[in-house]
Amino acid sequence: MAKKRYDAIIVGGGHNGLICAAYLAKAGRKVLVLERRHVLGGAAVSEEVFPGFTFSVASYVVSLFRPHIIRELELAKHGYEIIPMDCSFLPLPDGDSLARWADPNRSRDEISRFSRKDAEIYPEFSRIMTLMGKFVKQIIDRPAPDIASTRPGDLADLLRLGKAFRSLGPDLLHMNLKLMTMSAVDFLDLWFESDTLKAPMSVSGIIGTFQGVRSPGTAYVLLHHYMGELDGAFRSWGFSKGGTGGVSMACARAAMGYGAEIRTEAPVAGLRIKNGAASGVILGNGDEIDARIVVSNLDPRRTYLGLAGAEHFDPEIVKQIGRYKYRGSSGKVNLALDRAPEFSCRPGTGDHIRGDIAIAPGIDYLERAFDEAKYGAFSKRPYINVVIPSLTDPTLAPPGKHVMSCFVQYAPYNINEGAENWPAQREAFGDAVVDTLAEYIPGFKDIILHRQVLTPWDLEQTMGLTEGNIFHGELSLEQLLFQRPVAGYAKYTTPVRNLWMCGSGTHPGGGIMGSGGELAAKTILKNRALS
Amino acid sequence: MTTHDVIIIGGGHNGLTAATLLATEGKKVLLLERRDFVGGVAAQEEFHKGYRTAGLLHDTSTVRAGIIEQLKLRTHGLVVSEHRSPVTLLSDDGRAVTISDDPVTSAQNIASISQKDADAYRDYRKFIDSVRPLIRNLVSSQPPDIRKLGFSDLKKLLGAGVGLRRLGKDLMHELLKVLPMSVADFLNERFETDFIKAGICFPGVFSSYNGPWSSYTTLNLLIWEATANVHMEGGPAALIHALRKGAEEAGVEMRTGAGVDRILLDESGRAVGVKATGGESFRSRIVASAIPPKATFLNLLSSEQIGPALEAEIIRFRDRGTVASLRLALNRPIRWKCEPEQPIRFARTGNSFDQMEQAFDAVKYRRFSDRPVLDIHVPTVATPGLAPEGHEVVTILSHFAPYAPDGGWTDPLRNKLRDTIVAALSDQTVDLESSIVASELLTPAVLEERYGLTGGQLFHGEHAIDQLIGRPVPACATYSTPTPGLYLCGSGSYPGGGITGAPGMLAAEVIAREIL
Repeated sequence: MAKKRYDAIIVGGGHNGLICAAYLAKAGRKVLVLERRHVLGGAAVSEEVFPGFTFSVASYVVSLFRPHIIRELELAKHGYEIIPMDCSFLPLPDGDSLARWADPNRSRDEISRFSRKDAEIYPEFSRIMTLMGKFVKQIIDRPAPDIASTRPGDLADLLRLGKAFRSLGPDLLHMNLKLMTMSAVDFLDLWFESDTLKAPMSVSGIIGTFQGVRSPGTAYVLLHHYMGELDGAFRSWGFSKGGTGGVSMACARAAMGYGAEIRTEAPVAGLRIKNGAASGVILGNGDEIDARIVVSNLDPRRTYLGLAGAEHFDPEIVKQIGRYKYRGSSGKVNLALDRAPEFSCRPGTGDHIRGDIAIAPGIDYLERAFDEAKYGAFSKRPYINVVIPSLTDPTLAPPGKHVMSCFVQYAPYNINEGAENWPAQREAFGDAVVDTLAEYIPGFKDIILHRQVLTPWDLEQTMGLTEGNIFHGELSLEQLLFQRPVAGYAKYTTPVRNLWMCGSGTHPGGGIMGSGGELAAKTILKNRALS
Repeated sequence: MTTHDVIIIGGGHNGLTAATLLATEGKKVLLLERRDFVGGVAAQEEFHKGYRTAGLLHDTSTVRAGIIEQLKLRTHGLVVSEHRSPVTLLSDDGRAVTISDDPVTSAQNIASISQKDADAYRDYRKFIDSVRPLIRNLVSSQPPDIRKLGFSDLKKLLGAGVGLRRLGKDLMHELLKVLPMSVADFLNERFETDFIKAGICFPGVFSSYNGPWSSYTTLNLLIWEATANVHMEGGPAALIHALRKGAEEAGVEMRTGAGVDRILLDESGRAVGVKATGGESFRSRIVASAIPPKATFLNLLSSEQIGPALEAEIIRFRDRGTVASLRLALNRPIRWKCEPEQPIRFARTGNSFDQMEQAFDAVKYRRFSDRPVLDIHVPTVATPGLAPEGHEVVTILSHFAPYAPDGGWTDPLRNKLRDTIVAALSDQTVDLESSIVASELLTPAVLEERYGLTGGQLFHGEHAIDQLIGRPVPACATYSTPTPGLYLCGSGSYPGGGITGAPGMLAAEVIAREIL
């Protein structure tokens, strides 16, 4: 059989890899996607973990997905469907609770029980954040120019950015500076007085990062989570129908529709690199496949040091890749429930538990959870973000039964005894989560049928997320923009010719955005690497 | 009633600097100081009969060269050398290492602990040297006005950009990489010995609401490293002595025991003078405040006078004090466990990033640290006259302590804090307790009351990026304020706190232009 030669091989079938494949295939390129696991989607995956119970095993809500990608790849045609969430619910240990709704009037009424002043200013806060989000969109929807570059293209991009900054006006410019550098709590303190309101708001600043709500720099991630945009409406979150894997499957179907080939259970052992240029991949079974370019959907460490190998890079680059920080901080507990849970502070299974539910009863609580993790233990009383998607998508569980997804922070990858000791602590970690929830949900333990506990170690082992970091590397300023992952190689290229990157470890970073895949593909096509 | 050109509120080192610079240009300047002596946080104080400090703050290494020259401080008796003072980094296990201005001897000292760290220290200082001109220039020049972003502001930003580009691509990338980092990440990449790392990082978290694991602390460390390059015999008190003489010679009229009650505005809203707490009013063309921004706007002006927008911004200016000061009078020289060859003047404890971070954790919950980290000054080493012969004064800036602990600063709590700090120092010394003649503890709340430091914040406001750029608030970022005739010239303005004189000098330049 004559050896087939592809234009591009995508290593890793996460949502970014699939999107990259779809764009390249749409442009007429011959594309092959290779996925190590038996399922596609990477961290955006649905799996029937227990018979009859389908979970969004890792990533569980969709908010940042770029709408133009949905349009350009016609994802709706391929089954992309989002069920909007319109409540953020905060149960409190004292029997009180706060629900924030998509409907501003309902939110105002709820918030005013804690602070009339905060209720009044809440819409203004949303307005400013939306403005900032629109500004940041200009940054995330294009490759990041290198500040140190003197290339005309970069200079033009920098100038354009400078103009955009200036157009914000002085007040928003300074607000932007605050957002980029302040802690989530300090930033919220500028607006609000109620701890009960600020605590659940501040957590969006810490998702996936090894920082506390009082750590400088977390306000930015708060914005990252405020850019959620569904069907053009800002700050809308939702569940993918059939679980988060539905997003990936829509991308995969789009890619295949454009002619891409996708193989699962096809682990890549390494690259073929000759004279500093990649020319294909070597599979785990020894097979070799030729390609004009290879695009890695893996994180930077796996791409540079695993796939390619340190020997192909200048030692300085190896050092830079080595200093890129992961430090996963979160775990996931997926529960199959016999019936819908009811919170003692607000019984019933109504709309208030159909969105996301935050166990975040105060800023000190959240900060204490972080303090424990800082010194190498998982939080005994963690921040938990709970969703019960089967309440709005009954296809996920048998009739009357439910799936509950708990995103848990902090579970530091580097626990005191060393990351490889996570398996020994896995169940204790799961117990801490269940015990915490049981304080809010009477009889909770009795309705748990099955439990899946994923520590950062497990996320690394099963999904290839280095150190369990769900964003392929921390979203701290020195790892964003032209420095993601390494200055000089932030525009999806690597020092190895014909080796490209398209994952969350590239600009603009993690979350189900699709931008890495999209921008990588567009850069590749523009670069004429495949012309 | 006589009219002055300028009234300066507050006789700290920045107030004195601004006053003297303006007087030197022939302006008629009146300086009003609430306390009975000038100097603010740099003033000498007798805290027990016969025992005096060299200032609440210890560090004079970042006083700008331009000030020493322009104010002719040497001719006023100040002994200055262009080498920062050696500082000894102490470990709880009795090890110690002294680092000084000279990278070679510092590295030699470090080599006795770790050869890797000795090499790393030389590289570290080389890195500092390479970015020093850029950073020093930035924090000694007029800040851009981010509200206007006019031609000259853009030029300034561009100038900074050009300076950055002049570093070359690799160095520029490296600087931009490390600036947002935590000092722990920054130094962990370079060094291996815990207590050396902790000691080196101290200026990055000094007087901040940050621990070593907090992002952006490297920025503060680099600013200090790039500007700390002088040593003054006699410390802050000697600086104040020279500044006062300079002010007198320049013809500044100084009144002490003269607090200000109100800033007076005319019908058009222009500042035209001040009313002192004694009831007396003084007129001037310009009023410049060297006291913290919150005190200036919230205490000396009314809500109506400053308007709701500015008031809201000023209220949001973060000034959380996190440092307590302890002064100790000892009846004999302090004896260090590390048995140094030379008497120690400056020392820092810290032990490890985790221990420092834990010390910081406490203030988040409105408690003070059980194991505080100490910035220690032994002024009697250089100036024996501060204590009776053979006796010693030790002053400590202890991190971290909250401004408002739950339940307030009660006597038992104050005593407990004093004992905690003494215990931490005892870990480094021999028979400390038996040598203590007297002590004075200043909690952040006392710092506010005594020095007028709002929130107990030593820098008049925290050094966070958003409070360094557009300091204290965008509307007042270039020393002028929305109130015509009212200026700021203290540590609450660019480039911030510490004993630098830079805000006083830069404000004086702006004010001099205004009244030409």
